[in-house]
Amino acid sequence: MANDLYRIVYCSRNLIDEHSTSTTHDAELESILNASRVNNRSVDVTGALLFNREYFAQVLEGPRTPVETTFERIQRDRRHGEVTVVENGFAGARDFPEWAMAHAAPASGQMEDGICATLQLALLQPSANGEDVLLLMKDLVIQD
Amino acid sequence: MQVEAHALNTASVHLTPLPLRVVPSPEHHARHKAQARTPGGDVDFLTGLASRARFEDELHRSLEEIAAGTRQGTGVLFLDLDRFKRVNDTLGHAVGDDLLRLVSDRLRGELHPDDVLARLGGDEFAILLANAPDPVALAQLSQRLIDLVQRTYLIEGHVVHVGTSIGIALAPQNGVSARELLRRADLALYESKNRGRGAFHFFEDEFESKALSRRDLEMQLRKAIVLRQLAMFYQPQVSVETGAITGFEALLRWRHPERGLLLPGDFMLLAEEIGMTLPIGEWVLRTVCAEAKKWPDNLVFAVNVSAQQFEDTAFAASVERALSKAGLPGHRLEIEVKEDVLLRNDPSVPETLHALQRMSVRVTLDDFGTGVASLSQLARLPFDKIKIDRSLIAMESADPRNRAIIRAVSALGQSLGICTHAEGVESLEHLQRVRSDGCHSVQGYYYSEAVPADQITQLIDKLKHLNTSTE
Ligand SMILES: Cc1cc2nc3c(=O)[nH]c(=O)nc-3n(C[C@H](O)[C@H](O)[C@H](O)COP(=O)(O)O)c2cc1C
Repeated sequence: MANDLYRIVYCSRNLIDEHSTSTTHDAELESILNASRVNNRSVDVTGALLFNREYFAQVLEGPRTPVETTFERIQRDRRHGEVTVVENGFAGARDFPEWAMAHAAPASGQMEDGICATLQLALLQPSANGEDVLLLMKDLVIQD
Repeated sequence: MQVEAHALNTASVHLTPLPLRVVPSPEHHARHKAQARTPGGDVDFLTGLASRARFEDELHRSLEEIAAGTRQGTGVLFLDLDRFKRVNDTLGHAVGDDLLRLVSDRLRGELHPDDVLARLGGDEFAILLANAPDPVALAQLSQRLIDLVQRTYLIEGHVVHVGTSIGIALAPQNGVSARELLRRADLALYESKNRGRGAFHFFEDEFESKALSRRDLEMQLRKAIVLRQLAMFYQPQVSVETGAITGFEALLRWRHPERGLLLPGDFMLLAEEIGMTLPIGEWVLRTVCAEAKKWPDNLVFAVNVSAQQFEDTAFAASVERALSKAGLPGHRLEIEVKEDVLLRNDPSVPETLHALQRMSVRVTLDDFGTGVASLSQLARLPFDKIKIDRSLIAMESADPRNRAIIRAVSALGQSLGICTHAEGVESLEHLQRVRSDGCHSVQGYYYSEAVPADQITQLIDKLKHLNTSTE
């Protein structure tokens, strides 16, 4: 059980501007992605991270124990808050097998509103909207 | 599986009598001293944090240093987890233990290496500050701790939430003896829990007198039923379509000899602490059933039931007793439960819901929209009615997001055969708005406040007139 493929999807509110003084927003995100890629690879965790100025959404998949440990570390990160798990459970296959941490990036300006709406709804009614968030992220990574 | 255990507005268990909880008796202290000398006595095995004995030793040492003038001051923070018991009960002790370890790690990460972080027992933690505290920094620290602890935990496949409340006492300002300081930190913690949890408070002198008056109130509450000081008030519920009264929500009041008319919020938390929720709950059921019996068969009487009461395995049986004693058919009674009942992933909840339905007693989900219940949870359990919280109705601006929620709930209700009811309807404008958003029934000051039983007749007359005059 503890080593079966496990997946969680969460959304959170981006608090980077509140706490970063010297570094810029982008540099902070770059460092998150870099840390993720190094750390996740070493524990067989893959996934994708979507963000804009307001929200984060992240998929983490891998054996359950490292997924939970990674989540716990991320959870303590003050660069975001209101972390809301929208989906969690065992999964048949990885959605992002190639990516220690894919950056799910909308083409510039594209669908910013749609993404915000999806994430906002997910924060409001987590259990009802988990699937939408996952689909959205899969879309964005494949496009990338 | 989701277990939500974070701060909710509803009262919850704070069983330990106050204010003596953490004040060790002399024997107790000696025992801990002895323990501390044995290997491992300084450490809490579960979390690796300092033990209570070690914490007390360190506190004594700090206070001696303050007395000797070699230390400026210190501070004690008491924390306990809100709703930890529920995690333990529903997910088991292994998950509960993991949770305590994760909480410990999160707390430790925010502290100075020389601060002493101890687990006093159960879900109670204490921090002894290494440095003389600056109140502003301490307030920030407390807020950070609260924020961190209430963030989601993932444990063995479960999504777990708890919260924490904090009480703070400073030395030498709030006391120079360990006993006094601990008691005052505990009083401050009580204050935090009492004011809705997920909060911190510095000790204030008035907490002492509050503790005393709580004692008084407790003694009086124990006698209130026998002295017939409890009373039910009734607020009409009205059909949006016909304007006719469909029934009443029964609301508990305590006619306190000195303090006047008290609302449940003034005393039910206390009642819970002293184990009186169940006897009061029984009294309420009996009284309301007897009252309902006096009125026509189409009027339904609604009773509020706390999570604790609802969870009691004997609850359905006590409803049955109250009905049969009054000779009231089940369809005349409605039970209102708040969202927190949903979150008890406890098999007794659906069982009780079904048992009530077998008696034709209706069940309403109260205060929907204030917190945690999601639409998908609604679909899973057999509710007859959803009460949309007044906070969603009363918005002056008629916030479009709130209206969207009301419409979504009404639509879902429609498809599931669940009625939607709007609380806090205070004006014609509110009424028109919720009508267009699809609500079936309403209550609120627009029609009437809650009135004593002997004014129900008058009220029914008054509303008849209101109806004919607006038609
Ligand atoms: C939204 C968000 C997502 C993150 N995702 C990951 C991740 O997938 N893996 C990871 O190791 N760290 C992630 N982090 C960063 C961690 O919180 C933490 O800063 C990092 O793991 C520390 O790594 P280091 O000790 O190697 O510097 C994330 C942070 C944020 C705010």
